[in-house]
Amino acid sequence: MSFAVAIRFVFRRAVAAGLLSVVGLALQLRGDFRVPQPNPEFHFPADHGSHPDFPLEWWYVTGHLYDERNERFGFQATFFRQVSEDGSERETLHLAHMAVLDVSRKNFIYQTRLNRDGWDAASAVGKLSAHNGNWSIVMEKAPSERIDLIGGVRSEASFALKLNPKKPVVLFGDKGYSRKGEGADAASYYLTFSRLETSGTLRIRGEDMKVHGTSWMDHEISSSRLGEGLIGWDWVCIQFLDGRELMMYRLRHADGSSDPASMLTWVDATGATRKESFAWRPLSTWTSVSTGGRYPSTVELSTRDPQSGGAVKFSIEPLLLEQELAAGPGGIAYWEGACRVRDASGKEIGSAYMELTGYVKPLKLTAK
Amino acid sequence: MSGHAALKASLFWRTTIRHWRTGIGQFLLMLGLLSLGVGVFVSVRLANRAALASFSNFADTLTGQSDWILQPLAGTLPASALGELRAALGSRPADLVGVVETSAPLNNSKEQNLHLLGVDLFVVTNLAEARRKPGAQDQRSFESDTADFAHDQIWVSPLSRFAKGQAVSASIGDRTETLRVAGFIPTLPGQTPAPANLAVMDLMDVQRLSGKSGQLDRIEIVIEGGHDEDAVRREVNEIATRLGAGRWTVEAPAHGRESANTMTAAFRLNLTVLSLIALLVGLYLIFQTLDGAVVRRRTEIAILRALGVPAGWIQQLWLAEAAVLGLLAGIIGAGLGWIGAQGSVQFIGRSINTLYFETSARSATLDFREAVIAIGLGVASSLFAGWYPARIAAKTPPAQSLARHAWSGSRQHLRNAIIGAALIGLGVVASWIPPYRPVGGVRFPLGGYAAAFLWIFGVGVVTATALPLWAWLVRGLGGRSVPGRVASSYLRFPTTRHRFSVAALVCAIGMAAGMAILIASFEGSIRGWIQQSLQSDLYLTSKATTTAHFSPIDRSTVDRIAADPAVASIATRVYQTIVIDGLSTTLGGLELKNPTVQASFRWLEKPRKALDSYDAATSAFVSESFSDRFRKYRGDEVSVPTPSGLKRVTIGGVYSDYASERGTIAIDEATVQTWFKRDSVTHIATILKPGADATAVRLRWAEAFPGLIVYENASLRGQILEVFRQTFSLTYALEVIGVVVAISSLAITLASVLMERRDQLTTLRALGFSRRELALSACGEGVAIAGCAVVGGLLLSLALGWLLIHVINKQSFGWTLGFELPAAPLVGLAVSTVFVSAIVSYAVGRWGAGLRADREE
Repeated sequence: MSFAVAIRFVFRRAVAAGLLSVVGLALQLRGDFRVPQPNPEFHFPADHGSHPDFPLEWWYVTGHLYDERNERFGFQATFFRQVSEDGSERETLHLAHMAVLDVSRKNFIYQTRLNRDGWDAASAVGKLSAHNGNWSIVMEKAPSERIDLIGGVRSEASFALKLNPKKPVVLFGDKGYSRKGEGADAASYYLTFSRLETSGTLRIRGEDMKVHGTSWMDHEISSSRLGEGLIGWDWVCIQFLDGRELMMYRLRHADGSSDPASMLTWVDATGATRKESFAWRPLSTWTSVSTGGRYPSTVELSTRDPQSGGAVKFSIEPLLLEQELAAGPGGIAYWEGACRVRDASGKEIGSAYMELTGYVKPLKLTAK
Repeated sequence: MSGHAALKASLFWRTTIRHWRTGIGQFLLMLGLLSLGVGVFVSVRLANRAALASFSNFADTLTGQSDWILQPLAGTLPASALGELRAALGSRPADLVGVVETSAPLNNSKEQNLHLLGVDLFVVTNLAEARRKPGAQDQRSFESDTADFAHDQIWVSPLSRFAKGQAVSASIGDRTETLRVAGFIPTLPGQTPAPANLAVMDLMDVQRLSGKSGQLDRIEIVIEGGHDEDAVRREVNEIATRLGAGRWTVEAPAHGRESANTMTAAFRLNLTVLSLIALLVGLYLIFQTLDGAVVRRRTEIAILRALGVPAGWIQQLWLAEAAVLGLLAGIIGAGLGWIGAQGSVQFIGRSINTLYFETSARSATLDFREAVIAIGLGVASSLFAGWYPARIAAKTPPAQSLARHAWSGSRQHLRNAIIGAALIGLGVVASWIPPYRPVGGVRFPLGGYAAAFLWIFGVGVVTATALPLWAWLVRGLGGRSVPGRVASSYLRFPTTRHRFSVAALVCAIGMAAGMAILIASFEGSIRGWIQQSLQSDLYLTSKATTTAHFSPIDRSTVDRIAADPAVASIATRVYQTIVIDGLSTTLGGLELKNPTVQASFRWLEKPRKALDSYDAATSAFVSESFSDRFRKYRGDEVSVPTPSGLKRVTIGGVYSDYASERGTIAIDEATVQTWFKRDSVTHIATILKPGADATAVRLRWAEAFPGLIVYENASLRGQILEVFRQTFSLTYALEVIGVVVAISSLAITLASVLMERRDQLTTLRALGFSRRELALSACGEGVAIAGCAVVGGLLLSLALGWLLIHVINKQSFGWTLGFELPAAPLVGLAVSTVFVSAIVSYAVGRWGAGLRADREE
């Protein structure tokens, strides 16, 4: 889902340019924009594209890659579209984040980019086609749902990947209507390709590699409205070796408790979903040298396995602790990294991407 | 320390230092003058450097450095070029920054023009991220505390005098705008702050304010950092070059700095050469001082030699004296140079602003390298000048030294005259050498400079040889007066110092008077040019227009002015920068069929038919600088780059124009407007109806069009001449310093010879000579030297004037100037030189008359 990261940028339109204050913009995002409503109807592939009548939208891809020597890599590629209003003026901005993890060399690099809508950044309506600078995500023409993803980090690393959905698009929440708090308009449309077979090339340290692996892509269309009193989010997507997936997000209050809108959903091998209750328990922490943020590192996630009907516990362990995106336009640091998943016996049973926000300082997320 | 070294040090202390201490006044004067020579050179050098250093690209200021800069060959680039470029670059990690610049003069302020830089502030933010090293934190802080988006926000240099939140009233285009200071341009680690006059604004706002919506002045490309950076840089260059064929040039930022460097090279070289006058005169001074010291200390030298001190040691001692003198002068000169640079940087900066591009230099810094250069210059020049006296001191046999023959006054007149004539002849040959053309359209008149130096030395030698002739003149003028006869007797057999004093003064007077001739000729030519060019009553241009940038005036403004009841007729012009053969020049769109415009041309190569009969779309008329720079003459074809492709035009004539050394190619205005798809103009000239009060109309228009400057004919002429004089303001100071040093050297020479003659002076006093008579005798010598030098210097100045006008100026700037002799200033220079020399000589003579025969030097 990763909406935490997306939303924070709504509040930070052009912070770097010094044009708006954080809260100032948040107040300006209502306007005459639409708000996600229950029982939505989606038409694909058109709804994979942009929805400019909503103020906020993002395409968020994370994945695990292996080269021909079976060396492991992780990547994150996110494209945000957000609209701000100032009086009668409305401006669409595009923010993008890229990150590459080289596990064997313990090297994590990232880059962010913020552009106005226009020649260097745009997202198409009616089809998935977005670009920001030299980064792009494009879905091939129907009936293919294959997605071409081009990204990289400065001149350090670049990748060109083809993402093939192995399951139909998953509609999280209630048929894709996902609650984000108590307010009537605190919601998003939440569409996901939970398992994308991935292949392509990765260039890093001047070396070209053929890579393959599995990716996850969220597409959320949001009002940007969130519940009050929240200070951050924990989000995780797990791709199990048995072909199932799990997505969990936990909206955190200042006292550390979870908001009722928090959710854990299983995706079975056919793409069918089932919500379950869950418990989230950090087993260890990591303190960032860059920002001073104290993040959970290894986390224990307890829930019920709908397949067996029994309680299960997983531990989610970062492949590298230093996967914090500490700098860039927007200025709010967060941790987003590749993890391995072990069962209670310590056996590795899957891969995960985990996002942790609000650990450097509480995020001010209330709109009013 | 070895025994020899200790002995040499001891000798140095007991001889050289002792002499300095006993003649401390003379030593300090000589040191001061030499320091002044070094200081003048250093100050001009530092000021030149500071003026150039403030020329910077946007990227230098905001990101560290761009990798490539795309400059349109003509006019502006369409903003769509950005998207085109992005598509061509594909996934290559390069950030593209569209830039629009405009000059924004501040209203109600004497501050420098604001240089407004329009860039997409979002892109700027990305640049810092794109160049960030992995693991590093955010570097920029391009923020303000304002909560509202505003289109009037600017970010200013931390070196500026603006405060955050301050409202700034500025003229942009032909309008007045109020801009608000939102914050300061961040200074990146390791970078110097943005120039004081730079302000950054969001791209779209500057485009809107400057009338360049949808247009860009250039595109800067920043390659994102990392392992593949170099390869990406090369690929991007290839792609951008291929894509931009016929539309833009792709240059590295260093090229911009280099262009600034070469653009101003001739101007700066002229100043540097002038700054060497004082040092050159200082060399004469060192030579004659050390030469005199050798003569005066010949007894001491002979004794040292008789005691077994090797000749080599003697030479080393004298060279060490010169070196220490040079070292001290270098150190002091570096300090003086730094002080002088703080003033001269204003002059140089102002001239570069007026003539070439905007520079914001306000102060000059002296770094280690420049200090070493100053000290090196002091030591090297001192050793150069001291080498011959040191050699004489070492080579002269003790017996000859003790014999007290005035070998310094050896009769080598004929040989010297031949050498001088040979130098002059070589100079004539050098003056025929064509200019050296390295790159960037720059022309260095190296042959001209060589000729100047050869003539300075040659005429100096020849004039000095003629000094004995002045003995007769002094005797004749002095009648049978005793001081006159005494002075005459010394002048009949002048010492080397006398001759060098003449040569030093010849150098200073010749160069000063030569420059005066150049400036008078230049001013005369410009007066003639403006007389013919400026025929209208009122002239209007945008306040934002500078030499480097032509700001547009809307057609609606033109129409309003044309409709004014006081106006009989108007003529408009549109100027813009274009690039031909890689060199920037000016394209002027003129109403060539307008009789007033036609009458404004002063032809050097006259059109073969009436201007009306030339085809507007295929004909051009070029300025002399253009013709000379591009080597294009009447009948030649020129390809003019335009947004709609290259247009071939044929040169119909070459006209005289002193507006810019970059040159101008004039084409029919309507044709230019069509080629460039523009409707605005840059200059308006109006002729008022008979009886209209030009001043009243000017005042009315100034109020109605606050973004425009309105000149009356007379004030525009005055303005042009003011700019012209401003350009030469520093040269006057340099010339005065040269003459002062030369006259001071005359004083030192006379003091030196009087010291040498102290036994004779004692004898003369014993014979009944009064101090006044002895002073008058010295005065006679001084006046003769000065008079001789004035004659030689003025003759030299005629030659130098011709050289400066017809060779150095013509080769550097391509301007033909008429020769004008500024009689009054030259007479003033001659008379004042002789007069001051007389006073100084008399004063020195009175001092010398009091010397005791047994006084040690």
